[in-house]
Amino acid sequence: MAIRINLDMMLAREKMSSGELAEKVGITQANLSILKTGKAKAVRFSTLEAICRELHCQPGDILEYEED
Amino acid sequence: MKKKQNAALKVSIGFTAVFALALTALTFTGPWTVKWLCEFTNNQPIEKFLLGITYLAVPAGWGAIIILFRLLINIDKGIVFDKQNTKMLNILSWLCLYVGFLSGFATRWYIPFIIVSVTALFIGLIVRVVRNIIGEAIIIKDENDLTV
Repeated sequence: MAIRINLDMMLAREKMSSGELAEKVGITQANLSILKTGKAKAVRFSTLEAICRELHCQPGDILEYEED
Repeated sequence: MKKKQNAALKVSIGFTAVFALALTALTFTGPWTVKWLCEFTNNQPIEKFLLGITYLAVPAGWGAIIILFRLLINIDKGIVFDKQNTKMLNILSWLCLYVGFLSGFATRWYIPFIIVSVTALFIGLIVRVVRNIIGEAIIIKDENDLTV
């Protein structure tokens, strides 16, 4: 996939677990796992906004475009 | 709403069961039914031919009944937008088309079969379109499931 998700890096930076982030953002751990593994086909703005709020970062810190 | 859906599902299962019983009756009483029909319509010379056509169509009927039951069971389990269902709808449409072409061939000897032929072909076409719609719905559902 051309869009890479840098969620693990941001979680490590904030010293936060996946479960904690899922709870704070209001999504299931299964859905967060889909996002982390790059299986997600779309991300809602509301989810992205909540992730950025909890991880104190910008959307560009989480999503990265990669040439195939 | 769920109660209404359950009632509708039960009605569909009931109708399918009625057709299954009718097909069972036809399977076991085929020669007598065809003989009676031929005598009733004054078509005794083509009795054996009609019997042959009937028994060539019966397996397709059984296939359709089995598929309908499996589809209804899947709906009851909540499995609706699934690739397995589109496969079954595909087979169902081919079965309808098979009966349509078979009865279309039979019109050479018995013209009223044209009604069966056109009806079966049209139902086959409708089932194919429904299968295409379900196929598109599966793609949308997959995307929705993978939207975080």
